[in-house]
Amino acid sequence: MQGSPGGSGADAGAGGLIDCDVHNTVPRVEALFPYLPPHWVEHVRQSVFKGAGASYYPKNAPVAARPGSVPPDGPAGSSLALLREQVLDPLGVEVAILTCLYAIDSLHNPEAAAAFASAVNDWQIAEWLDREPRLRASIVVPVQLPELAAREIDRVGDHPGFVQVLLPARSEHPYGSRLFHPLWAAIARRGLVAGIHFGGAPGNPPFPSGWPSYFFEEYAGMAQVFQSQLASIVSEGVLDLFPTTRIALIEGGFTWLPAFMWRFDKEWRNLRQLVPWVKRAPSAYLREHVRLTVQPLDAPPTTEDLLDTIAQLGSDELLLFATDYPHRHAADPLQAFLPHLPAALARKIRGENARALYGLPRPA
Amino acid sequence: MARYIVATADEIPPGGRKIVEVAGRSIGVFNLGGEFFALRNRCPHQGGPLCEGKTFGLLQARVPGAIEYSRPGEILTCAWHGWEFDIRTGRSWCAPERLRVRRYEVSVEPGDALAAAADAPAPGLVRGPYQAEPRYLVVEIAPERGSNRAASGATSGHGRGGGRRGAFRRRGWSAAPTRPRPTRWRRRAYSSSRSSYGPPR
Ligand code: FES
Repeated sequence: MQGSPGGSGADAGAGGLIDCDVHNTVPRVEALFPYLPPHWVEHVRQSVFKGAGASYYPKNAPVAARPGSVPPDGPAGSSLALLREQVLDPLGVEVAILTCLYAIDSLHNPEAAAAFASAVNDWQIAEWLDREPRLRASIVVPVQLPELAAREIDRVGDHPGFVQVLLPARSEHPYGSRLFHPLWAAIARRGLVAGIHFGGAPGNPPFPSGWPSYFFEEYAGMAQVFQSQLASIVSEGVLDLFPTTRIALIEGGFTWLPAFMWRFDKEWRNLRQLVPWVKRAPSAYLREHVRLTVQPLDAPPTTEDLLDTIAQLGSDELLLFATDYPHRHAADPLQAFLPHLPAALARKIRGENARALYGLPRPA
Repeated sequence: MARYIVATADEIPPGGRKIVEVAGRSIGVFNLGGEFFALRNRCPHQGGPLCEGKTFGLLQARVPGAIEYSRPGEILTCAWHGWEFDIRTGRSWCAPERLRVRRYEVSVEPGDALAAAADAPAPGLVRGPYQAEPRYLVVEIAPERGSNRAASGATSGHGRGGGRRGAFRRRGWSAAPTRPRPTRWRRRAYSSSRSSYGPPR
């Protein structure tokens, strides 16, 4: 690591700050009524079905909501006013990328999944994007039904506020599977980023070895889910078939990536005959196509350990600043991490890497 | 340049191989469809007996599933960890520029020509007895730096490598891929119609 520490705090002059993980929460199912077809409104009114869950974080878990982020009339993350007050204004955020965790993937009725995904996206346009120019958003899709997901991406993908398609890290099949080719094709067609986010409710266990018993296990063990998705996406040729694909791993940590790349490259040298479309070392694909948000940070014991790990990533273009609002990981997300880094690297993480990833314009 | 007779040509049929000890080196001689190639039987990865590995065809694909199979039998996989090497060039598949195995020139020569050359001794050519009839495979080996062992006979019994060992050791892991330069997003991935949706003024 060269250069002096100096990634400064809330200093917007150091290059626009881009927050790559801000959650907007559907406050209650009625909020979607204006955007749902009438028969689904009726169904929700008359039955016990009230749409999907809104978050993979257990309510009231200490990390689930930072103090003061719960508005009087809804759950944490449901208030644009609070988002402005707690993140956009005090940190001087130039652009924040919304990641709405409405769990469409938990809906097993395909028509419901498609209708609620469309409603959430139209709600995001009307209630968030149209009201706050600093926001961009992620398209919510019925990922378990790739054809329907592709249709939704085509429906709203050209809206200039949407920069990403949200894919839950836990999925029914690994994302490299050919079942998902229609989804990847749509993402590529619309020039969007595939944002793979912590969590998911596909119905199968979060560990390949079976069901964990405690949220703690699942939360701490999620890195392996991200690893398996990367192994699948690279090995099954998604990045060869759709070479413009850009992937953001959100809330998955990054300290596991160097070791994973070592292993992945090593095995490629003797097993690549099985996947001959994988033409380069897997780490070369990952460094070209994959970016990762920094929050929550895996907090190595010392700053030196952290800097070593970042050096082992082998690129200063991989990391993206994120607060993960309203989830709480650090009292002051700007001070928790960036000041320890060399200034040039801090600048890239603050905004330049995200600007490149999401194709955001340079500040005027 | 010393020349060593290592086999008769019909000893190694197409698709076959023979591992020989020459000038203190173990060398694999391969017949690919009537053409002969010789490679050092020491893998540049960790020194495994490369030439004892299985051979395969070359598998390539542009996109998933579109497998193109070519050059049957021309790709050698190391007996230890399975890394692939092109028998024709000695280059590895995983890092063809950095990681290669030493290859040697092989020529096919009639016995009477060799006998004539031995009479008017060509430098380094090991003496017969030659028979006039069969054709022989002759491997050319440059003398090792700081050593005259190369001239010491076709089966010197010095074991594998000798003085080369250190050099290969040093290559060992450092021959594994070094950190690639950071790659940039493809330009075309940036092009976006999103500039109309600009940041706040
Ligand atoms: S020694 Fe040959 S591949 Fe490892």
